[in-house]
Amino acid sequence: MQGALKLTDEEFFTAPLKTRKATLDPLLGAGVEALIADAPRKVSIDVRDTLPMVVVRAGSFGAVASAPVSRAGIVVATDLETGQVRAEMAVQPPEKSVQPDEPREAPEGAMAGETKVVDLRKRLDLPWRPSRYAVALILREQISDPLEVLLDSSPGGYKDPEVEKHRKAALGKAPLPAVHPAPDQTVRYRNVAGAPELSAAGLALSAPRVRKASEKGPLLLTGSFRVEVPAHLVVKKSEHTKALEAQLGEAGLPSALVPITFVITGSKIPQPEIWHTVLPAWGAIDPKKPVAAGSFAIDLNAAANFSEPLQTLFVYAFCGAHRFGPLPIAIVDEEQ
Amino acid sequence: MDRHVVESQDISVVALLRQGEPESSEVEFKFKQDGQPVPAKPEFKVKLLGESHETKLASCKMKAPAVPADKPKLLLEYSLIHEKRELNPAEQIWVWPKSAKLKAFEPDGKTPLARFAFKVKQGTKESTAQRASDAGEAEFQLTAGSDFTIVAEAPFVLLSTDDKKPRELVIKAERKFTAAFAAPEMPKDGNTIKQYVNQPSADDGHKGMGNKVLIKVAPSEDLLNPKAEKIAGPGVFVYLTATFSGPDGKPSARLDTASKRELTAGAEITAIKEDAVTKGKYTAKVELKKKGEGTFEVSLGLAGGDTCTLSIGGAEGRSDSTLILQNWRKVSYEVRAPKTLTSLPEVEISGKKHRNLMKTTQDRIAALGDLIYVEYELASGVPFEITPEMKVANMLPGSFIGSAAAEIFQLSDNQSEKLLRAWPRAGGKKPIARFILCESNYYASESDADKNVDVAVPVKAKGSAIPLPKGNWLPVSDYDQQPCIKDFKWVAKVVANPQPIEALFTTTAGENGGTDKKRIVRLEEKLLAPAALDLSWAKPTVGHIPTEITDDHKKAIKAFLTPLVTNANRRKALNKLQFTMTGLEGAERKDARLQNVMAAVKDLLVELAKPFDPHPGLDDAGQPRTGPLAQATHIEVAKSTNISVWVNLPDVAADDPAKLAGEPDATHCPITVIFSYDEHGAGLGTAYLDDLKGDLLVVFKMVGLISCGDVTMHELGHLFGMTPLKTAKDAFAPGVDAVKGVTADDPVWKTGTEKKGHYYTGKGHTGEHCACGLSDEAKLKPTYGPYGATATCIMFGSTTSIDSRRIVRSLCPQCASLMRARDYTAF
Repeated sequence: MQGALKLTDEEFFTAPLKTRKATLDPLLGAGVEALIADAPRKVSIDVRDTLPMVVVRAGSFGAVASAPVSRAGIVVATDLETGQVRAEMAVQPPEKSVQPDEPREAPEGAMAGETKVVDLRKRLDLPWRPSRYAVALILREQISDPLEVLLDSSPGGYKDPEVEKHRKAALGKAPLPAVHPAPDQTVRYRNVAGAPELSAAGLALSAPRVRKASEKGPLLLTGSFRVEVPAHLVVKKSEHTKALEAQLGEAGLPSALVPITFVITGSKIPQPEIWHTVLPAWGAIDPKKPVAAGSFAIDLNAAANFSEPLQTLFVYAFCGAHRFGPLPIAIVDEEQ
Repeated sequence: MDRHVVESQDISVVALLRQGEPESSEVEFKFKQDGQPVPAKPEFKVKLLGESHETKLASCKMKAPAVPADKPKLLLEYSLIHEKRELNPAEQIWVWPKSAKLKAFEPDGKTPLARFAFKVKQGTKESTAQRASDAGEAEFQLTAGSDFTIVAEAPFVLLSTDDKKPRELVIKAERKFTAAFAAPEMPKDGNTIKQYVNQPSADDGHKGMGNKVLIKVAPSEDLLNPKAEKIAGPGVFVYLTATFSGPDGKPSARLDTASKRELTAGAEITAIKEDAVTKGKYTAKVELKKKGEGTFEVSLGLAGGDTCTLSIGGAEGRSDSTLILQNWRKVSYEVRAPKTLTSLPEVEISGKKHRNLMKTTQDRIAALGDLIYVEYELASGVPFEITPEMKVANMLPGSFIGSAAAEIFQLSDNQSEKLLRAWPRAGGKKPIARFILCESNYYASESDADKNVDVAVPVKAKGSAIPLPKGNWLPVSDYDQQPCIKDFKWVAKVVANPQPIEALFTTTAGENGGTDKKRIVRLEEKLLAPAALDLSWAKPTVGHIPTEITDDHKKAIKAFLTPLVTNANRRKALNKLQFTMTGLEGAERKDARLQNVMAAVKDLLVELAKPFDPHPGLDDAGQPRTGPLAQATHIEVAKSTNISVWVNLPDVAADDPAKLAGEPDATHCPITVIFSYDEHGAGLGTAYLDDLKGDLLVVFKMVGLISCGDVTMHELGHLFGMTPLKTAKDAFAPGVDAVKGVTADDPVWKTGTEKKGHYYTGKGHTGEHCACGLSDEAKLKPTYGPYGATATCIMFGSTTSIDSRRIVRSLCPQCASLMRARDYTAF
């Protein structure tokens, strides 16, 4: 929940740790696990040059020891206008040769807490221009509540409307991206049998819960979406859509292209695989409020080879303000 | 009878007439040269001279004629005409050339052989040694009487003599001296000189320093016999073959233009010619015209391991001596170690005692240095004193890092930088790296303001080790130089379970001083033992003594009970009261009185004592008790380690948490120890930048001496530019291609059946590193931590400081090749 840390927008910059103890102590005392991320609702880009996200995490001693935010945290930001998703490790490793943390036993009943202030601008290389971002922190099988941050000029600050107009015009003129991954015998996009049902707007995924490492063939991820799409990804037949028509063949020209980014982390290797896909959707689209719905079956192995190490993968999907996950997939060997 | 003369020699011929008295005194000599008459000359006509009547003498003087050029000698015969008689003397005169010439050539028959040395042999006699001119020409005197031959004098060997013109010989000979290197001096063991090409040149490169070497060559005979006449001189050449190569015949990829590998034209070297087939192989000749020597310069480039093989001969195509100059680089280092590191070996430099790295570490560094042709040399190792400030800030019990030593020297990067800036560097040698040694490197930085970690660990003993969930701690935080443990407190881990007070009653018989007029019931409480309460009933004027509890009785009982049910007493008595009532028993009224007292007590207890949990871990409000702790008082550093703190709970007062700590029961409970700490990283080493460039922090552990060498070489590698993933072609070193990353095929440096390049950035490590050894599949992974066991290069991004956990690595061929190519003249 945005505001969970009870910090003013100003305090995210001046006293980000002000409420740390007050937030953590009750959680640690009560033995309650929690992952709290908070960020300012608005950042004045002409005044500030960082976008802080404060993360307060309480967890069992073992959980914090095995997956600390500093080693396993992943920050994700979705540009709610363009649909572009950026994800990166929350914390940059130290710039020197270090010893890996020594293993340590978790005492029974012990709790631990940690706090991090992450500059999302720096970590995600965010363009510093007026925009709206949905941001979150992933920590293995946990994801923080969604936060929305507005980047804009301060009241009275200079803002050239022509710059934004120009950027939006350029976005509209940009060539349509190709469907990715391209459809083939495995990758399917229309009326996919077995895709999870969606009763409301959002995303839904399904995949085998357990997969043998030695198993050949695709690691099939099926899904459904019903999401608003950016205007520039609504497809209107023209000279520019010929390549798309050719790519999709008999399936015909889609009505919209839906950018869905998958962030896949793991219980042993937290560093994420980030897979940007562009999925087609057919059906009528309301140009005033373009909502696209569809289903898909794609091969997760196209993002990376997940056969090793043996671990549980956690798949998250992001599209605009919508997200889904974690979807756990355990990679096991024959003996497990 | 023969007479031998040389050309133009004055000769006289004499004839004797012995028979009778001649009529005429006119006599004419006739001469023949090689059987051909010599035209008469007036001087051939002479008068007989006679002093006796029996003997008359005729004599003629002349110059011996010249011997024809195509003849080795001339026969001069004569006869005497007297009175029409021709008289033939028995004598033959042989005229020999008085001198001859020769022209000496090299074996090619074209090049004059300067200063050809020879003797002229006639019969059994030999002339003294003679020399031809620089043009190979000589004229020499002959004596009469025998043919001559030319005998070559050392170092010359006669190959052929053309005597078509017997007195103008054309000779082919070769100068057969043994070429030798006059400078630099040949090493005593073998013929390879380590040439430190990153060092400033000294003594024309003759002391192994510098990448240009002035080579001096001379006949070894001259060198061995310096007082003898020198073979060397103008026109005398040493023939040279120079081959620029490297280990296994492979020179470095480095191709400098400013300091390339070459024979420098000039000096006495001429005819430099590169071999048409073998690249890098040159032939040339060096004229020995400079004080009995020939000099030339070779430029060796800057790459380590490259070789320049110089083969010289006293004749073309011959190799009398071979010298190999192999490029090395020398890097000096300065060791700054605390005086407490007494295990470091002592060495003496310029009469002063210094400390070096441990021998095992030195050997490891040397072994890795050998792969890249870099030699590391101790320049200075003055240990530093532990100041009182350091004693506080840097000395920790050895047990803190698991060391058997009583104390260890801990150094953070902040502390290290301050010291390094304060100390002058050892001068004199370049490049020089400075190693500051410590036994642990726990560190924080100003940007670690958010590195608070909170811990809440239940303990059940007075003293307990509390492990830290992540990172390390230091008694004095490197972040703010304050105690590292903050917000330190204890909280009893018990949940209140309030219960009514438990009252137990027993009755005993007794009058308590009562009489027929008065009955007394005595109320006592055994657990807290207050003064007994006597409740009395007086006999009324009429009727029995009552049994009911009066208001006065209630007041008294309440006053009796109130102090018993304080929280303190309820804790003391564990929420129990054990009453004894003494009174008369056995009759209905007597029993009723006792029962009424008991009921009154029970009723009043309900009123006075609300349900309560008397557990000593709870406060009066039923909340877990808590109290402050302080690092200075309650943490025992001697029992702590870098990843755990030893907490001693307060144990003075009766209700101090140490008394409480234990398995949960009525009077014990776990105590949750809560604190925050500044998380510190554990460094293996640090290569500093900017004004401290060249300075390295090195973690020294007796259990990690080899690892220390690996880490030091890793950091030195970075110092000299490794691993250059983002560097364009020629930027790392001229001629060196840009390296391939782990996602690109690398046909040059691939290993086995794997195809991908080795260099990467990130992957859970910081900076650019080498993934040689990892499979192509592993190289595509987002982090390399789990694959470290397969990495084969010390430039991989992570390692350990403990030898027993060390993964054996070396420098991979690509890194070694690049480090060979790197310029080591400066960082």
